[in-house]
Amino acid sequence: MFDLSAEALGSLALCVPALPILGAISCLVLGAVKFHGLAPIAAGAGVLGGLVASIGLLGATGHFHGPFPANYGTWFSVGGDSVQWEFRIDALSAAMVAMVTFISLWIVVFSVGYMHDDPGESRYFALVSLFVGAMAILILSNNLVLLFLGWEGVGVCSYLLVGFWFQKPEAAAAARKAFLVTRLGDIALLGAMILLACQLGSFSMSYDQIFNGKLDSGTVYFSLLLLLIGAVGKSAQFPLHVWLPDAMEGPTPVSALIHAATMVTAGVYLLARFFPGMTGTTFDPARLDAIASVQDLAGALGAVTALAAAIMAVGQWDLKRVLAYSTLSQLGYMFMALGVSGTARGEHLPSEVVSMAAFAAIFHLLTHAFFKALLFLSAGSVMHAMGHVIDMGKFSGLAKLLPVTHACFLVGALALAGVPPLSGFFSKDEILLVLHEGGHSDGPRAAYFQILFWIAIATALLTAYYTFRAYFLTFHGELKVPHEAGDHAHESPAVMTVPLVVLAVCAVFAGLVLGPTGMLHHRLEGTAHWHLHESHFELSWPMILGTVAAITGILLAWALFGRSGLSKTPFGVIEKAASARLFIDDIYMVALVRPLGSIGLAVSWLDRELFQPLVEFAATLPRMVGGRFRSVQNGLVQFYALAMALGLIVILAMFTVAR
Amino acid sequence: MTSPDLPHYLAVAAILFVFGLVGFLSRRNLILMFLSVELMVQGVALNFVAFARFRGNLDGQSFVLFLLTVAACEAALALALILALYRTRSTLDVSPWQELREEDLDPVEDDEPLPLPGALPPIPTLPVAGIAPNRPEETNRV
Amino acid sequence: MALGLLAVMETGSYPWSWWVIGPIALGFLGVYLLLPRPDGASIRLGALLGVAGLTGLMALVLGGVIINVETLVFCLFSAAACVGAGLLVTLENPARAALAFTVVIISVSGLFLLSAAPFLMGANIIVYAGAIIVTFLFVLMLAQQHLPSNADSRSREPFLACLAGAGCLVLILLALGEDAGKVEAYQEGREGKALIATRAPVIPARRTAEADLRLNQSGVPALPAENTAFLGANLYGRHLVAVELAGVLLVVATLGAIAIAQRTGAGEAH
Repeated sequence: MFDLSAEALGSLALCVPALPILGAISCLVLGAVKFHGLAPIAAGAGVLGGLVASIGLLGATGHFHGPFPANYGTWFSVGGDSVQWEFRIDALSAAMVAMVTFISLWIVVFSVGYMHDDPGESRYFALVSLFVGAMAILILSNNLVLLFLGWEGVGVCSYLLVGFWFQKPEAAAAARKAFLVTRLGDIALLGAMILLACQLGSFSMSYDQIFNGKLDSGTVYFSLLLLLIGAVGKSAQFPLHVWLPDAMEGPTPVSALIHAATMVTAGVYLLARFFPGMTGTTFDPARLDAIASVQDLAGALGAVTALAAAIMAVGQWDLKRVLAYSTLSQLGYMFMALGVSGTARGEHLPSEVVSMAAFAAIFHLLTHAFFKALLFLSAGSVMHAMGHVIDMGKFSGLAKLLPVTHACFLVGALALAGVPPLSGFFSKDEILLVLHEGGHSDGPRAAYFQILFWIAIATALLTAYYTFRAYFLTFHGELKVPHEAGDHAHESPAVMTVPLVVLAVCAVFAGLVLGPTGMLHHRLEGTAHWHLHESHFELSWPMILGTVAAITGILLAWALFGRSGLSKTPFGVIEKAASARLFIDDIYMVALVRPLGSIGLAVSWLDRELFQPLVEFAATLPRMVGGRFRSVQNGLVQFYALAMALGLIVILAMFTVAR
Repeated sequence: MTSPDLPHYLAVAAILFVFGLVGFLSRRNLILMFLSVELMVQGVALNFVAFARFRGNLDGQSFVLFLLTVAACEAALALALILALYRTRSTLDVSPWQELREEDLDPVEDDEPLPLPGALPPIPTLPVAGIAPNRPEETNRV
Repeated sequence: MALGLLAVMETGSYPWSWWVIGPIALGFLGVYLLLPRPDGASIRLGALLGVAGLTGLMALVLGGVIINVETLVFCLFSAAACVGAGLLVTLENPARAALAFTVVIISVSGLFLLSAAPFLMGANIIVYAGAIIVTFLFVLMLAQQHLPSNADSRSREPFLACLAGAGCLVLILLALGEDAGKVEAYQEGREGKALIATRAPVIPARRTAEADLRLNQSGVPALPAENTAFLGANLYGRHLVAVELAGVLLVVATLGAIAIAQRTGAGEAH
């Protein structure tokens, strides 16, 4: 769109993480000097600066296609190797970072109203800004080490934000759980980094070095596997999904930001870069096989997560938990898309297939961010009005009470269900298309992709069902307001409804703008290592199937909940299992947490009974020894003089006799 | 060598010095402790004078003069202090002054009892002088 | 140690190297026995041992010295000084100990006279025996203790004190003996560095212009009659500042003594 010199582009890219981080520091300083009211302004200014910079980047990358690495100097160097501060400015990172900063800005605005009376306001805004900065670093980084920095940064901010109300024990426990479970993924990511560093011979590891480096297929397999585990941890796929529902203990805008739009998408982003990158333009069957094996696992985990999460969402009564499971399910969709691998002799080149799959995942990521954030913020608005009560059994019929919230929630629900022409429809359609094509190719995995396709359809039905169940339970039926609401039970102030409206508009039009017009496709074409073949929008069998599934789900929900409000459903058993989260948490508790706890107890007993007395003995030993010598100081002058004389004799002896 | 040479004088001075050291370390009477110090000073003075004599240099003797001066001052002040100490505890013993000891140590006390003071020797009296005159009684004749 | 022994034994002039331990041990054992004890000191045994030790030591130290008047006078005065010192340390009665100290003073003054320092002899007697001991006796009068008392009839660590004394004396005499031998060896052209150079260096001692000590024909310093004059010249010529400072010291001591005495006097008045 417009021309920018290299230095300008580099500085612009640096602004994207730097301005929010500066905003975070200002919030902390303001909090320390007790100007709490100015904190949101500082945070908002930082994020707005980041947004402006990323829009600039977006415009600039429309002009050229290839990646533009921007190097800001050496971070650290060990031995002869050094890790650089380098950013990779290409269309993919620009698009993602623009989405992140855009949504973060509206969430900051929303938080001004939501967190208005909270005493920790400045801490909250500092953490949100810091999070945005860390996420920008993650997205823009050009090497794995810098990505890891951003990865850990968002993990820490997530911990601090989920446990924001840390005096509440459930919140503190949820924060710990989130951090520890994602830690398992982080260790895998670190393992992948070490493996690649050993094989490549240096740990500066920029993406181009990795993708173009000489790696044998075993290394490719293991490193991608470890990266997959890292992504599974961060994006909360089965079996590391247990932290996401608990993370709803944090403030609702935090859930909107972190657990809908940004942090959980980091895993998808990582794999979307790596799967196509590793495939490259090779036809080497061993390498393709290795990548395909990992992609199989990704697809399987995604499918399991999508279906299981949708089932679990069916039985939830907590509105935010419904949305949390819905996030898990949609992330499962993205992983299913990433699971499509290319064969050496298919209709399209393997790189093209993998790139199309990655493109579908990214498209869904972008639209999902908009409507999921919208849904979470609407839930937040509902909570704000209902006095922080979120149990759907306690309120109903809020349509007339909260008109704007109701309209926005409806828009978000329709987008999530995938009703045309809203954004969710187009992105889900891309995924279904990719899966369908894979299922009808003549590679060895066709049957597998068919299974994934039907699981996706089933999940679409369930998605529509539980989303509209939640919608009908909340907004339809008789007006019932819990007593905690007090005099809060009215529409939220403008500072909270404006972001809702903006995001609703995006949810409606983003799909139309990006998908059928081919704008996103055109833009992302030039991403390095992505080889997208020409695509165009056409009516196809998967699209129709998906829409039918969605409408069926909506009708089912309306039949059960819409007409007669709360009623007993015939799915009683499933709902009971679902509300118990399919007992996965309990299995973890028995198999992992309790044994580890016992080991911890044993070790702490050992420490208390054995090592503590040892250390204390070492501490009292000088006192004991000194106590023996204290009796020398008896206060008698002659005794002291005697001691001096005896010492004198020793010295004299040294000089005369012992020479 | 023919006559008493420097090492002999130095040996005598050493003996005096060491006696003074022993006396200071063992006697408990403040005055005797101080006398032992003066004894040590005498040994040192003899040392200086011996060196002066056998080097043919009068600096040693000058220093002994200063030593005498210092000893005199020291004696004056020390005796005043001893008197002050005596007045506080009414004993010339140095042992009661144990305040420099460690705080929770017990003070050092004497174990063996002193022997009871023996009977004082009778105050000597002079025998009656001269021979008593052989008179039964003295008559007063006016 | 063995090397030192060999070196000394080579010289042969000062044969008292390790033999001094015997008489010294004897002597200090005697002193130990004589030190006052609550159950009475063993006077006879202690005196015997002490005298034996002293005699042995003198024989050892003065072995090889020609017998003339100077030597006899020297022995007399040294013996008196040592015996007086021993008495000072071991007598129970402090007044008697002070008198023993007088004997020491007189003996040491005699040794001063033998060392060509007649003025110092006089000064020593006047200052010490005349002033200091008299002051001591006055204080003893004021602070009288009735025997037996804690102060006089007990000793603090007698054994260790005698051990320390014996050790010191042994080491000093060893140093004297050894190094005298080494200096001789050095002067005879052999190896050796002395700790205490007990021999005058070969360079003549006349460093100053004035003739401090008159030398007779054979170059041995003679007893000058003008020792006082020369001493005065040395004192006020080379050590004037020290003399002035000594004067200041005397004044300060006087003032201090008066101040302390005043305070106790004022404290005592009811």
